[in-house]
Amino acid sequence: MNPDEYASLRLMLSAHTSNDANFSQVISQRDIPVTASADKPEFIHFDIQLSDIQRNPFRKLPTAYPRRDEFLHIQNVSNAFKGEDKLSVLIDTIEISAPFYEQWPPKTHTNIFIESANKGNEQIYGREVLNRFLRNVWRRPVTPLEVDQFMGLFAKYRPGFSTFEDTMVEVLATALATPEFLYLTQRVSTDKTKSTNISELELASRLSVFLWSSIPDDELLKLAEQGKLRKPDVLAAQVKRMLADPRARRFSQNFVEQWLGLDGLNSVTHIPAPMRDSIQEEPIAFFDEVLKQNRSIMDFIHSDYAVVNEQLAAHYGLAKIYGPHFRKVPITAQSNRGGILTVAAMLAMNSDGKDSNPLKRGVWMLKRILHDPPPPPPPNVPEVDLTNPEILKMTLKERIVDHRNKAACISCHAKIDPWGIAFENYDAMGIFRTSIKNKPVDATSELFNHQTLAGIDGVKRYLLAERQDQFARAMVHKLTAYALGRPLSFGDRADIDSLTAQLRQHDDKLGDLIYLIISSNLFNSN
Amino acid sequence: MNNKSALLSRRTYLQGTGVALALPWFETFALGKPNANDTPKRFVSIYHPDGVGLPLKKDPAWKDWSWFPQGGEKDFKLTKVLDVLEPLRSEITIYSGLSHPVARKVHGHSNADQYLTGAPIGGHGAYQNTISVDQAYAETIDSLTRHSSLVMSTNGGVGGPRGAQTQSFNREGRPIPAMNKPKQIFDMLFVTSNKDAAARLARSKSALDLLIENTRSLGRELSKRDQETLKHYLDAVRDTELKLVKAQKWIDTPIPKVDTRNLHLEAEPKEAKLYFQTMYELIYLAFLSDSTRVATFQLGRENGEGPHDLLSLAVGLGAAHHLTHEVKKPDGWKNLGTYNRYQAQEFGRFVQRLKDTPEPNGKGNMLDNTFAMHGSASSSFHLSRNYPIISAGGKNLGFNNGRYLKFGKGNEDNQAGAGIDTDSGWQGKVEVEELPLTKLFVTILQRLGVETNSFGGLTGSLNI
Repeated sequence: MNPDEYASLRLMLSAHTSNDANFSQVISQRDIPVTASADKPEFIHFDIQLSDIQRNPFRKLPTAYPRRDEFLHIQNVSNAFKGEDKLSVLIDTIEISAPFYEQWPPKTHTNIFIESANKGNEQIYGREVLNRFLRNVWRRPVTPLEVDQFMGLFAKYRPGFSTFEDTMVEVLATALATPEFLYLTQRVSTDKTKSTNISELELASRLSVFLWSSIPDDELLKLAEQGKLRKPDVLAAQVKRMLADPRARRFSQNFVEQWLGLDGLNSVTHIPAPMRDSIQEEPIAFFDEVLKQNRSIMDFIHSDYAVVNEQLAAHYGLAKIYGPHFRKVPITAQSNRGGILTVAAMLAMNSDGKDSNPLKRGVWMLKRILHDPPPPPPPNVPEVDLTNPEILKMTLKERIVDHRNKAACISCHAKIDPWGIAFENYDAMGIFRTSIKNKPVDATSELFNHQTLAGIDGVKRYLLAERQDQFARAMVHKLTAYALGRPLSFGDRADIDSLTAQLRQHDDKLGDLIYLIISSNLFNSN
Repeated sequence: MNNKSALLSRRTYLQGTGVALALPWFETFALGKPNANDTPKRFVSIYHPDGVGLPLKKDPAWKDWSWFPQGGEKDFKLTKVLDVLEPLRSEITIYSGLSHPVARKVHGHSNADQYLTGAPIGGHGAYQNTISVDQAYAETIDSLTRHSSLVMSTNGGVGGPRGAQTQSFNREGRPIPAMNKPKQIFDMLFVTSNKDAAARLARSKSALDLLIENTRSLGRELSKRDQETLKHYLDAVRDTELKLVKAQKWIDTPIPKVDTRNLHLEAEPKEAKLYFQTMYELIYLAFLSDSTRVATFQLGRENGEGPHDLLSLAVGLGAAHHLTHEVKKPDGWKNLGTYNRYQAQEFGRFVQRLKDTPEPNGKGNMLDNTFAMHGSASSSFHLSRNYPIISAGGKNLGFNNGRYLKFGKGNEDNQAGAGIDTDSGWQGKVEVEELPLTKLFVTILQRLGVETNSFGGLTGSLNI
């Protein structure tokens, strides 16, 4: 097999709802590479959640019409699918087992309707179920009085249902509408002599919301109830465990989406649909890599690697990267990538659909990377008059200079524009270019402080030479605000400064920063 | 995909549970509060699959059996397909040159799903729909009537993706099951006291009591800022309470008594005429009793089969869907036209009935306060363009009738795609300009009192 070729398997389900009317969907989570040779076959295994799949609603009809058929496709996703030497996959056996449960009743059920010797007594068993459920959703132990309330509801509902479980499901639904489940709450201690520290149970909730976007699990709750969670070695071990848990993936995703403003991708229409997911995913995968390997946050400014899949590698002109999964690959200076400033997501969402938009890119740099957002534009800003033939003749950069020279605009634009112009080597899809309409790209600009920025290379060099402190502080600010779930205020300044200093002492390592934030005063106090 | 559904957000979860609690960030439409005592404004849409006959001009059948009228805005001449509506000429408007841009190259078999939504459902792959225009109106007047809408079809249920058996889709784009048995519809509207609803209501009340009690005890222990947040929460709980009070009102309101003389509740589609007329009569009675102000009725599913195909028995013809495939056989155009003529005739009978009934609590007759629309998402043979649409009524809403309105450019004689009977037709290049049907929807919504200037992602209304 040619080392540059690969074949992988993907599962699809499709159905006909009429002649010439159909639907289909990819049902496997990811393509699985086929690496075995023909004489040494291997099993390729997919787990599919049946409840997540759109089935053919007519599949159980007794009549042959409307059409009842459903198709399970095994698709060979390969980069060698044409010509004589196409890569075929030999399949010997296919085994389908459905429905498949690891246990019956499933765990999701037994987690709520727990095993108990009291199952026969609805009053006692009901309290047991409620005790556990309320503790989980409220993230704290519950009092018998609180359980009484819900048992009261249970008693009212019970005659309307035939089974205990149906009744209890209704009662539990009400528990999910309580404010203590919906909001993160902090109880004010009535004892003024006590410290302003949040309780360990509140710490457990903060941790799980921060790193999992979810409620604490049993282990966290138990440690908090025992008063052990705040012990430094216990806390460090828990943070490590939480970051290794698949739920931590939500942290990377939610934080990066908010930090970089990835929802901006929804307001541009020029990204081809098949590329959207990859483009959106790249900065998240990059962050994940920095986090998991505890690398320096300065990698966000520049790195000698990229985290890409095949699609993006092709987009960036990086050779020999196969398959849809993201991975770290070494790059050279010639690739003009590295860090998150030059990911396609940033460059594409800060474009106007046809071409780059230096203004948007400049604002993005100030807001997202340097945490120094410019003020909003003043009212009555004159539009750039594109009916004026003189203006139409200008290059984009000339137009910006022309616009900037208006009195109402200059103060802000002098601050914004140079950052954006330095990105002019990247087009609206983030592809590197050296000419625009047959003119060489001029990506040189001068900052307000007369610092010259020579293109993206210049920006990176300047940031790493002169602005590391500012970027570190910006990163601490963004992460801390996310961890606390609130905007930071002037009063938090000293804490942020101190966290920034500690981060720098820790060689700017992202994993260390997470732990520093979690053990900080800010994170532990009201 | 799997990720998404595994990580249902809390909001989504709450929607799905028994307690319908409107959380603060869930704000429903801001709307100019409609008043129960205002003259009702109604919307009804009838959908027929399979489109209409569209012969070429050189075809001898064109003069009599082409669906679209011939002539200008006021001096149009109805062909034999629609001449049954001649007595109602001043009450109807016929439209050409309207279609959903995203569907113009999608096979007609997939199209009933998006007629009222305009969603880019496409022809293949994953499926997602959006809210239909009837529901966009219904949700703004939800509290005024016992039923927010009456959703009917001959086949019933929701059907499947690209094989809808309902015309109505909710705000999440989920299909709303259609009712198809006259007896059930009648019972729902006029008989069942809905014991279940009373029990559900009682449960919701108990749940709210508990939530308020629980919130009170929590509030005492919270910081000032959190108490503020809790206040928003309580506001939402109170809104829910108000909704319950309204719901209670309907349980306590006696069910209206209606005249059942024209109903044949056991009728099935194979007794086409009786079935057809009974279903229309049910819409009429639902409107007359102000049980609802919104109705949709789908005459079968695209691609034929199932009960609706039997409706053409009413005029002695075979399966309805086949009529579109057999237009090139002897009397083909005439047969399809005859079936479409019959559909128009029944629509006309319904319109006439609204016209003959004075508005029970308001101005004019019922038709003047009702926008009734009749149409299909294909014109000729699976061609998802130039939808054949008739509307009637709505005078008090601001609609001027007695007109044939041609929109778009380059297709003044409705010849684009005419005469096709192969699949190359619907797949063919879009060569004439048509306007988005959503523009008509925006006009309708605005005149029904919904403040909006866009629908299905498209902005703009029709200047009619």
